[in-house]
Amino acid sequence: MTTKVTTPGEKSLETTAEISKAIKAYYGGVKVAKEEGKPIIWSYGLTPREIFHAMDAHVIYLEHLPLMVGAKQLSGHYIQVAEEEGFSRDVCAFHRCFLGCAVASERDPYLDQFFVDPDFIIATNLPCMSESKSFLYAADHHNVPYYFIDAPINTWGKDIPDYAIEYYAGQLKGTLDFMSEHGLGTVDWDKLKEAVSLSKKLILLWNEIDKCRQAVPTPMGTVDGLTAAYPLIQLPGTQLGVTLFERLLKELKGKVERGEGVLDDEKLRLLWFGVPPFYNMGLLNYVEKYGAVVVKSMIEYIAGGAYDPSIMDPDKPLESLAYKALVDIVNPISENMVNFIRETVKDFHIDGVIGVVKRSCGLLPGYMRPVKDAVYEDSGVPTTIFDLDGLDIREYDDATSKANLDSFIEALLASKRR
Amino acid sequence: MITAGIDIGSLTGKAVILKDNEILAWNLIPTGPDSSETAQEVTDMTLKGAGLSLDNMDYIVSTGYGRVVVPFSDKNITEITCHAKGAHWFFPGVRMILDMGGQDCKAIRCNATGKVTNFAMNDKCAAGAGRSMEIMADLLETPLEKMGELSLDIKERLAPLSSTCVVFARTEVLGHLHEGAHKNDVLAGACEALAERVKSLLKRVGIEADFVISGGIAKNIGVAKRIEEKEGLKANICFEPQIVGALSAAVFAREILEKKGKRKKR
Repeated sequence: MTTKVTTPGEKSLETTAEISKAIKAYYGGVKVAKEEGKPIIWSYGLTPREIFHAMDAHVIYLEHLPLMVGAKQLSGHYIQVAEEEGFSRDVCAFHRCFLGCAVASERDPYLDQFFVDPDFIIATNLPCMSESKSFLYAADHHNVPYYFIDAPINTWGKDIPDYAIEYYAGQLKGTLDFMSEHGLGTVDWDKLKEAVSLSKKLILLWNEIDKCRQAVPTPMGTVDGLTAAYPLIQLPGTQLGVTLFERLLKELKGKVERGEGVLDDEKLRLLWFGVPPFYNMGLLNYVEKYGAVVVKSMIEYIAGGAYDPSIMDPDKPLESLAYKALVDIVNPISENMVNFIRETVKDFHIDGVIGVVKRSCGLLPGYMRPVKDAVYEDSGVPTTIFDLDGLDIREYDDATSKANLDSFIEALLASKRR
Repeated sequence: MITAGIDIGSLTGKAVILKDNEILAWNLIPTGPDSSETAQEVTDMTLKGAGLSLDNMDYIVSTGYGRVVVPFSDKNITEITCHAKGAHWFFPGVRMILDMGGQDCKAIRCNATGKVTNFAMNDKCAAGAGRSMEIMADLLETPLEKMGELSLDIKERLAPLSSTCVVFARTEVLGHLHEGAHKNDVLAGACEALAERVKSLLKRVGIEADFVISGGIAKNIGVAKRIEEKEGLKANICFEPQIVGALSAAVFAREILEKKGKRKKR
């Protein structure tokens, strides 16, 4: 399914091209593992990935498949497959898409490169309870064992109480035992400690990368940023993730030193809040005609891009991972998300926030108004909010999306001239 | 200094010619399948009314969804910016504008100079816009301009309609009529549903007392009164609410010209 109004985003960094290759290599590796008879796990990107890397597990992250098929403009097809199974249009587009990928009787050659049937499924309720139900359906469909990691909803902010940490660490221990029972061998605690140490290193590098991005003009926009965040989302706990971030940091430092930006004459800096249109990342480049750059996206912070690395103690691996997961900005308490966006607006010298609402999401739309009000109150920075389903290409309305962006940027430029 | 503003909307094309700060002529016509032809036609009509030609225009600004295809425009500006400016021209104290156009609806907040400070547009569905009223008028065999007045004359009780989808609302209307509901009561339901939908849009930008309604639905007294009642506000509506965008485009044209100091050669 294609539509001529959509265009891929333009990336400008060498390292993000390398990261794209690493993604393909990762999924290629999963396919080979399956052929070699190794167990394949389906899970979700907010399950602490460090435990999978420590167990040498081969995992397909089911929210990542929709992003990949979305970028190839294939998400509409798989979403429709799920709807034909009986899933309502009100179910999260990500869930419909991966369920469509999971149950499709035929898959296109692109998805087929990555798609591997599961041997078991590890589900969770972080950030969405519906995630676990969708996974349950997939487990029934493939007739494979299902394990559920119960994450306490964060109602505490950054001060997660010890009992919640202990509880979630217990859930992770249970997950490790479950993996051991299903053919992944015994837990190598030294390896897990090493994974936590590498995960800490990764976030420290990411923080330095973010510092580079705060430069004016910014050396990396969100089109590159979303690919660049892949190691953060899927490779925490690996040397590969660290290596890729070291290269990215070096490339960005060079650009900052030379004063090279995405745009040399940067007039406006924007923050994208919500899921960007993965089938039309060119929309993020569209604003460049006004001298505007989408400097940062909230999505880059999901899965751990916003936590304090000092909490990672390799000697307490499960507790560290529990804290990291529970404090994630998408674990419901809105205070963390609102404060985080407030700080991002200041740190990245943001002039305007673009908030997009994916109607089938039960979580992010609720953050929009509090974020808009808080950012305006704090920094006087305005936010525009409009409907845009970042995954379901069938819902995309190019004219309305651009009308919103045109009007918003026009108002921002007028306000700068004032 | 003579400037023109052209607003090519989804349902109507509008043109306003301004001499200094005074309206010389204006016109509106239905938008045809070719927006640039509509622009040409409405501009020609308006120029004729003013006894002028395109060569007399010092600067022309276009707005509306078809703004980029107006062939003789010197600059285009989005309708959000224009409606704020235009409402401010008519009512200088305005701080909140509700523009209810053919296929969308916009709530806009502006500052003391008419510059946009916040806005929200309705979602992709036309249920909150002029097209939905046209469909209802057609279905109920009522002239569009009579809808509002009749909707205020409820015969028995308001026939409720959902506010989410105009196509489903059409089915609901037929259901009410089959059950014997009076036409006025169904019209009341349609106006109420639209006003309810608009209320949440206004709340998204923040309610302000100095309030203007522009766009075609501003002429529907049934909708305007219900919005006023819901918000406890008095809406300001100019003599022809559909030309606010075009008027503003002409005002922008004048301001640009004042800054540049020389007219555009044609």
